[in-house]
Amino acid sequence: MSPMLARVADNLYWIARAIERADTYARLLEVSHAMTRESGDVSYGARTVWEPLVEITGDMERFEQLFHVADEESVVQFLATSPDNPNSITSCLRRARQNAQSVRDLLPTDVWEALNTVYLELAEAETGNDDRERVYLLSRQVRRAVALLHGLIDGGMRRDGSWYFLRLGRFTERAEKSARLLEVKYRLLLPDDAALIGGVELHQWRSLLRSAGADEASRRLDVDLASPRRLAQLLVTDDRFPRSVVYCLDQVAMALTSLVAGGDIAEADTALTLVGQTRAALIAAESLPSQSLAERMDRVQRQCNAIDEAVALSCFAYSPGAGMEGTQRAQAARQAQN
Amino acid sequence: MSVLFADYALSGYYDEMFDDDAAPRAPYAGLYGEVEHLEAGVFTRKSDLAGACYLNEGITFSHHGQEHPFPFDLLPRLISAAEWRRLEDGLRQRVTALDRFLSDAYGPQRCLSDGVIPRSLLTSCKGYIREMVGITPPNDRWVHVAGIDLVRDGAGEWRVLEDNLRTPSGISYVVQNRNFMRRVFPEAFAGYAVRRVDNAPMMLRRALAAASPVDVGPARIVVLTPGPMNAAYYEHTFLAQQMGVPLAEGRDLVVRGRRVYLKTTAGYEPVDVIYRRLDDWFLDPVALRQDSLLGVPGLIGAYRAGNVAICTAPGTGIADDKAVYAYVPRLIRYYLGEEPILKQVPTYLLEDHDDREHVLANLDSLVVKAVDGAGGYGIMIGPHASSDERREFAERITANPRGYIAQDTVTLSRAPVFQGGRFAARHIDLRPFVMFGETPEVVPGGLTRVALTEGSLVVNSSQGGGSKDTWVLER
Repeated sequence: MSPMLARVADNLYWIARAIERADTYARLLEVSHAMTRESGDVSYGARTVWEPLVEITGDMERFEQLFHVADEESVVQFLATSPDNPNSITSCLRRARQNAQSVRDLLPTDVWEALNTVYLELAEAETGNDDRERVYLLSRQVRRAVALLHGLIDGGMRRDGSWYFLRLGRFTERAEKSARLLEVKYRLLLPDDAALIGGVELHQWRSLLRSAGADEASRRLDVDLASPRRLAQLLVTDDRFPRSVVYCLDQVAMALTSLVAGGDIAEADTALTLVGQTRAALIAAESLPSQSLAERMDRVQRQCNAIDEAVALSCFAYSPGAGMEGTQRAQAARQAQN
Repeated sequence: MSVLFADYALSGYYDEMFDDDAAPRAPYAGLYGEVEHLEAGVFTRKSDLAGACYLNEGITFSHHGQEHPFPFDLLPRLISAAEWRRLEDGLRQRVTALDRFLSDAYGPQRCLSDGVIPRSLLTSCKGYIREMVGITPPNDRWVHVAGIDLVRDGAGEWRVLEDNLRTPSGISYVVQNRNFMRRVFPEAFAGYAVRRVDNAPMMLRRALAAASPVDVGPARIVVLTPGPMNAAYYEHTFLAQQMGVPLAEGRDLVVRGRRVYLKTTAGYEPVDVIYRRLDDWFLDPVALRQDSLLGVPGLIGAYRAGNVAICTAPGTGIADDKAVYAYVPRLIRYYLGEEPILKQVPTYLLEDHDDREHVLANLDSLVVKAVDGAGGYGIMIGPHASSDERREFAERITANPRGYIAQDTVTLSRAPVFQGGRFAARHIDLRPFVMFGETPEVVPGGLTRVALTEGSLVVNSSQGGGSKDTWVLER
């Protein structure tokens, strides 16, 4: 089989990024929602939970254009359902569905069907109930749908270019978001990298772990919550933990190497070099406590963006780009299909 | 009759399921026995489940800019083996003649010098593309896939209503209707041996591969789509997936040195065969319509050089022009020396003075169609039209007689359709598909289209029509 269309590869990459993003936001919303229940202090919740949550998504500017205050209502709306936020959960799923529609011939029917179904369900729910348990229900629904999608993708697709482009998108997105989560939370919780952990912060740490889906893993590893360094290890350099930055980078490297080996792309030298450098720097920094974790994570994010650009250059150089223009769409609609 | 058929009226039409004494026709006996025991609730549940299948898989048809699931009626339409053999022979014969006509019309034009068809009629076809004169497509094959619309008249006689050769759609629904039928109404199959239709996409692939200009190695085929905005986009994705070939938009293709290439992740990859779902004039902004944003610049140049096959061939529109339709029986006799197996609908060409006068005087009993119309647009059904509509069409005919034809109104046969908890009789037609590689092959069955509105004769999906699974019986 010959290599796939550049536009199609581009689409697959963004489908995977969009569903990973929806999953991350669903998880973040659920954890944040749970975190603020018992505090009783609304402004505390806003300052320590909801505002940083928008920061984690990197969409603060857009948020401020749409809302005045960052509280539960506004942030949940912004991240879950807002059509004005291109990165809200529903926007992500809409985009994934749209992209999937134009690569339907390559996706297993089950995958398309699962994506279409969750999108239709959410679109329906949007107009429906507005109860507070909705955050939990929405989060569970999205996380289950994404798990189903990955199950179908991993269980059913041949390991050819399509699968590796999906993999590439998924782990590029996850590496970047994991780094961002750590950066924001560490900056907030541990400004000088050395403070002791008190009662409130303990609760925050647990939430951070849960946001990263690492709570249960950390318990089994018996990680001492009073040792932020050990925690960072789990989330940053543990190459067996599927949400650590290093694990994600390894998956990105593997996907790129396999694409080159399979003849799907000519080379990925720049991207692979960047991945290697980032990984090495993270491992090295573990024994060099001079640099704060927040700074390190900030650099990881910038590296992730550079990797994304390098990937675009070696994989999607021939892609004619994402959308169609107005006239083109009108012409397409007019083509008779007798 | 059972409760489900309590209000079912034959009303003097030819009914596919029941004879004039309201007894099930022989092929339907088993199916009727299966259905008559069912309660309305069961059938409603099955129908809803089928609807959900369509929606979840996103099998939709858009009309007026909105996506709708394609309405599917659960009671299949049956065709006996003997009846099918005759239809199959007639379809093969017709498509072969149309293919020969295209080769001749853009080549030596013997049909003109022998006076089989008037030159002015040919060159005035909207689908006539002068740029194609003198081009011989690979293997001299013009029609690679055809959808021929058949109807059964009041006497139960099959007739060809029209030919669709450029971008016929519906194959995906043929395959999916059967898939969903097996899922939600497996009982219906009891005691029946039904010809399978799953192979239709591979039949298409075989026909496309046979068109390849390259002998060495497997043909590199792509489906060329206008994109997700197009009404039949679902079908484009389905066919690409089922045939295992890339689904490309115009912007995914590029022409270099009179060769067509795909823009892939690894660079440019050559293409041998393009199954296009674009209108002729949009294929190439350099050679055809300059404002086309959907085509591939230089495509016609590569085609002319013999480096790529375009399926179906550009220019094919002359053979499914509705005025040329009137000449098809003559074309069959001329090219094949055979009598046409399938009847047609009596057709009036409005450039002829006597015919025109007859038509204008009898608009209330005739059907008028734009010669290049499709999808049920540009059509007036005399008996159902208002006097304003008839006046409007009379003016249009007088102003542009070449632009229209008129036909006797065929009272399409009817079949039971499940609506509102019981069966009602609705008009239907049949679109079988012919794949033409080395030889013409007919997909057993086809798309039975249903006019969902009572009394309506318009079955097009773009006009809100639905469909039925079509069973060709083995015995």
